[in-house]
Amino acid sequence: MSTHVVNWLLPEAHWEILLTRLFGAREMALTCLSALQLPAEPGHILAAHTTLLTLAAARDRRRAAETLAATTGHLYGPGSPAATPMPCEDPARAAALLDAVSAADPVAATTVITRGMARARARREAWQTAAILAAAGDDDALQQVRALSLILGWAAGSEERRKELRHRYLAAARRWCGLARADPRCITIADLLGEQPP
Amino acid sequence: MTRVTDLRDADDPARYGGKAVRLAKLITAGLAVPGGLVLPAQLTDVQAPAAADLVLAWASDRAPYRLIARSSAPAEDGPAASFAGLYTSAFTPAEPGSLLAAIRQVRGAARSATIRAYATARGVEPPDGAAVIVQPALRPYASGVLAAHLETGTLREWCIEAVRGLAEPLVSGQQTGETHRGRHQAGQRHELVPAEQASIVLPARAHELFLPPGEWIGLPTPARTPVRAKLQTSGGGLLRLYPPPQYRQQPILTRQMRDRLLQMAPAAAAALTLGTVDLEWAITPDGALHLLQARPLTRPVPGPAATGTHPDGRTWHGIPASPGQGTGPVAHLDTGPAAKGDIGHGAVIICQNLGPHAASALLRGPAAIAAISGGPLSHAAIVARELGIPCVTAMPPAIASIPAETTVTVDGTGGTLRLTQSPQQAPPAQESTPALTGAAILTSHLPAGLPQDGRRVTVVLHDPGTDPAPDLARIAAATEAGMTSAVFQPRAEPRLAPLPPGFTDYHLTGAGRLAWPSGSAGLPPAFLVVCDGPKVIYQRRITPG
Repeated sequence: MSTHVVNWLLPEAHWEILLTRLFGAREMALTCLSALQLPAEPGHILAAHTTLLTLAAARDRRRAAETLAATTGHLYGPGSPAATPMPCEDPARAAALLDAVSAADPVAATTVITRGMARARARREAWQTAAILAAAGDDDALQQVRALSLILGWAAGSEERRKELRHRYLAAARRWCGLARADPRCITIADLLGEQPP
Repeated sequence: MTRVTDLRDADDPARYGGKAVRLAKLITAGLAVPGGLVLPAQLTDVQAPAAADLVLAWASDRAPYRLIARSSAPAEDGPAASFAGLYTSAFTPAEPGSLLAAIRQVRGAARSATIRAYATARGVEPPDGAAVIVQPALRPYASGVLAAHLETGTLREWCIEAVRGLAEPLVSGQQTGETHRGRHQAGQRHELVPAEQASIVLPARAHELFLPPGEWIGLPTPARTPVRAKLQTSGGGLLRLYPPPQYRQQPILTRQMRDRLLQMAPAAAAALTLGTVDLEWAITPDGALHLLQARPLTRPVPGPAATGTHPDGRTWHGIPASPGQGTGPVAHLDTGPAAKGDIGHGAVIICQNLGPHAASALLRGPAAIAAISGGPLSHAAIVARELGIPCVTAMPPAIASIPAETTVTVDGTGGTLRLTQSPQQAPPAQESTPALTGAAILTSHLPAGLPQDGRRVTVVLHDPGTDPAPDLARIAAATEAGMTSAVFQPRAEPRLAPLPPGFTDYHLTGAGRLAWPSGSAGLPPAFLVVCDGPKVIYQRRITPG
């Protein structure tokens, strides 16, 4: 959560002004910033779908559905899994999702993801190289370009990781409440840690 | 040559732009227009820093909430074309570097391809540049627009849209203002529609930009009781605040405020000898009413259906999230047939945000994505960039009501969604790609195979601030194997490590160092960076020192 708050405070306007000055065009600055805001690993949507495609190819469909329900089922659906399970946490619904994906050419889908990510990484590298070339000879601008390149990639990665961890944590906390007969709407950290109230 | 002119003295549209000249006429007529200075359109880039210094001296005790730099082009706000939302305004601190950057941003926007295309479509002369008006930013209680149609100096039909704080989210189409409409006929009651305001935007005091989200900010209000709001986020000199709960049930404009606005419209129209007017206004906490802009109305007085759209009626604005343009039929991800996954190739997906359930639709090759929530780091934005799909986020909720199958164009670079009159409408011309034959291509690493794009040399970037020492032996081996290669360092110091035989160390004026294969011909005139195609995304000339 803390990284999420930090990301609200990124000096995007300052970076846009800097890159506009270096490139001489605002459109190029915006395109560069966009290209640099790419996570190092696939974001949660493509990562979850890759898991789905892999499981869709498994021979043991029942086991694949249970794995999907347990590992990424909490990511599918609106809202959060804090109080009520997401639909695909139910192995039967997970199996239906696997069936739908199997019918839609998983190999082609995997290829689209792989190629898309490769192109996005190439764009990020090219725009980072372009920004460094534009800043070359100006040490202050060069340092700022290095920093913004690093921070924007990290920011995008942290946002995606946060979503995955948040949903996993909330689903686990809700399951714990089910076992401990606690109300998921009002548990505290002390409850989860097994501490006694003072 | 006078580099800046007092706004009230702006009298030549070719020099000061239409907006400044109209504001000067309003000042002369006694209407309350905030003071300001105008930098003429003919000001050169070399003269701009000195002009900025004059502005700063003038603004030293006038700008508690910073400054705003606004465009004023000759044809802007004209009867044939409003250019509404196309030119740029920039909030800036009263500091030399920031003000100069804001001035350059506003002047640069006036020469954009979008403005040239709009001018051509409207049949007016594309602007060669724009004057810049610099005024102290107001921190208003409320602001908005007023469109009015008059007959013999009397209001016939009018529409006021108001939001709390600055009007920027209203005029950019991101929020729906409190709307008052009426006709001056006996017994005619005026119509009031509440605002849909998800955030209040205010210019920041300097220290407020360092406050974290969740901090409390005092709102400008004419009420005696102070009102505070929680900070959502800040940036670009602006604060975005959560509207406090007590505002949900309170109208923004009192009857007295509305009546004063309606009295101002005929006065402004008379000063400009117009039969219709489109005004931008603001009310500060002391109750003062300020007129910020006045132009002829280039459309009918807005009726109920137009609420929530851009003043041009067919464009919505959001945050650019993934570059490129895409045109196609609308498919709503969260409702209708599309909710069951029935989204075809080439559709424009409209959604709240995206989650894993949308992955199958995204892999079918949609033309673009328009998301109502989120910013540049939202999940919709990130997955759009991963797959190279044009995307705009933070769109106004009104886009959810665009009927499915309507043809729209999303501009992920400019941050807009617009209704497209026909699927054949041509996109803006792309910049031509220069041939790579004989070029020096700068890359972050050596390519795996011999490039087939006609390049003369591959120049590998070595940044001593972040990279390990370059593998010069590998560069030399690649050159011997037929892939002529070199190493570029974007700093003059440190010197590149001892070079392998056959390489020479060059100092490049203002750009760094280059390890160049001696057997190759002379140094190239420029480095090019390519991707996607290969398309040249940037080039920089180099000169040996």
